[in-house]
Amino acid sequence: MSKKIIFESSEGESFEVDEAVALECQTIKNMIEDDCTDGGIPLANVNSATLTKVIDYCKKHVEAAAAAEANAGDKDIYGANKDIELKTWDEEFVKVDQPLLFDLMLAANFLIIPGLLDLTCKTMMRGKTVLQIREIFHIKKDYTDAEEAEVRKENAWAFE
Amino acid sequence: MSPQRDSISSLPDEVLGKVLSLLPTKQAASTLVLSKRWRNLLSLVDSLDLSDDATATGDPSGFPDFVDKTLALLTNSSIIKRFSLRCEHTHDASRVDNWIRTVLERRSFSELHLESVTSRARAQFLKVQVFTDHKSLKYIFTQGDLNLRQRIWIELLADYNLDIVYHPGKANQVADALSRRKVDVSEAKEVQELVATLASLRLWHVRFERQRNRNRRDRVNEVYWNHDWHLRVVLNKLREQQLYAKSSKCSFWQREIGFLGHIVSEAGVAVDPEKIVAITKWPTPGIINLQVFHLYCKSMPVFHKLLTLSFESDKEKGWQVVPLLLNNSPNLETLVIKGLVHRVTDRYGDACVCVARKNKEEEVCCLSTCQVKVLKVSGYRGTRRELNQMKHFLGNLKCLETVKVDVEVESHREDKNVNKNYQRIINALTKLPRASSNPFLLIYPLCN
Repeated sequence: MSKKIIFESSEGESFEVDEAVALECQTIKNMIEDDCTDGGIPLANVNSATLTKVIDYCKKHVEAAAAAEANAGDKDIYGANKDIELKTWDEEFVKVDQPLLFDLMLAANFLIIPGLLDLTCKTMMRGKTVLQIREIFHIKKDYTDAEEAEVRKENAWAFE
Repeated sequence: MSPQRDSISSLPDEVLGKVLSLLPTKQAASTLVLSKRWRNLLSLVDSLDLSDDATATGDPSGFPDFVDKTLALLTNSSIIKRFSLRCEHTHDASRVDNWIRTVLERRSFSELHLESVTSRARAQFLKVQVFTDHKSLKYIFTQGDLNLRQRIWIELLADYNLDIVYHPGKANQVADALSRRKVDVSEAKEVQELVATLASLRLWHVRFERQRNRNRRDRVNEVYWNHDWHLRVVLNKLREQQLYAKSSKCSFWQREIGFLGHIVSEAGVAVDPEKIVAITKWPTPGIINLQVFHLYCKSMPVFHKLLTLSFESDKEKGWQVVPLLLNNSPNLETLVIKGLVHRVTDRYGDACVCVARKNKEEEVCCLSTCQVKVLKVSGYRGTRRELNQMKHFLGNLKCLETVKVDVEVESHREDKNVNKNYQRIINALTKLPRASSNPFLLIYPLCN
């Protein structure tokens, strides 16, 4: 039976996960190596909803990695399918509302999960114009019109 | 949470930098105009993805300016990990060259992707510049007479469009920096990065990706490449002289090989570890025959477990091997010497003072790195040379705690003289300068 690690969310809720799953997070990995995980790890800046998602992600990827390893011997189309399956799973995974997505980014950044950080950062802005981005993310324009024109002029090369 | 809240702008800089790194650089640059918060974020980007295809940029002629400006903006930021350049159109080769050079000079740089779509555009990447500190190589393409080695080189180099640039060994930083990088080059034609360092011109097969069939070939080991060349020379010589080798007695492509009881490898000649296993595993060697080690001078094993070294000096033989023994016994604590008189010799002699060296300050004496704590000298007669030797020991052994000297005073003289002689020896010894803080000096008379 593998060792369990206990996470504690900002609401004080406890989550028990396998050590192998927890090792996906570089920050936790360092803590485990330093042997200071007894009595649970308090994650004061990660709320329960986010933590559930993060643990889901880690579990899925640990399972996928284990499955890939098991299938490594006989390379077939099946392995490729698994890859695609994981990709679709990832795509579904990030179809969440904005606040949760940002929380996930913050958690991935804090816990150092490169895969999750890439995944969450990747899709959100690709192929959108400045105006669209402003609208989607409710970014308030704090330039005056004159200032904006100035910035656009200065960096005209980016807007050609 | 209010739907109107601008929560993305409250994310930390490093996360937003990551978001921008994953965007095509062109789009990342356009976020400058979002709000004041976003004005300085572009410098946090650690990955550049530049492409001149029509969907990314309207006008290909503006692309070089765009790249120039992006790179100019990034000059002060610290990290660029990935640089990807995709060209559909042909650009000024020297500018393209400049971009690649600029990013290659970054310290943390790890990934380079170059891709060009049309064959005309491709030519701009193919020019490889080779830095070498062999000035003569500069003329290799134009000189008439070539020796065997150069001819082999020409065969290899003929396929590449390259410039050989003389780069003095002193200023070799760029070449060294390049040689350490793994460069991924996406090209239809094989591209090699050639880097010459001080000793020899070395050839690297850069890991490359073929644009079409995605063929990957691993880096060819430089050692093997050299071996290949040596092998060719040797076998050609054999063929010329019509000599035949028995294949069962030959072995090729070995990393190391046993020869006359020694192991010959990249690192040089070493003693076969099997032959000295008794010595290296010996917990506390008692007596070591110095003459045997003298023969092994060049490949002396390291005695990690040797704590006590005792040897008897001989008037007929020198101390050549002592410095070697001291250097190869990192944990030596006790040094026992019987008799300090030995033959004068100038070979390897920095454990003794036989030969006065001119640049004494500049040389590091083997004694000064030695960890010896206890020095026992017996048969001390107090002659000038012995005193000099003691001075050398006391002055250089930094960790010395106890010094024990058994003074041997000849007994054929009268009692009074013996005592006087003994006093003189003690006085001389106690006045010697000492390198360690406070060695404990024990002097015993030993009257025959």
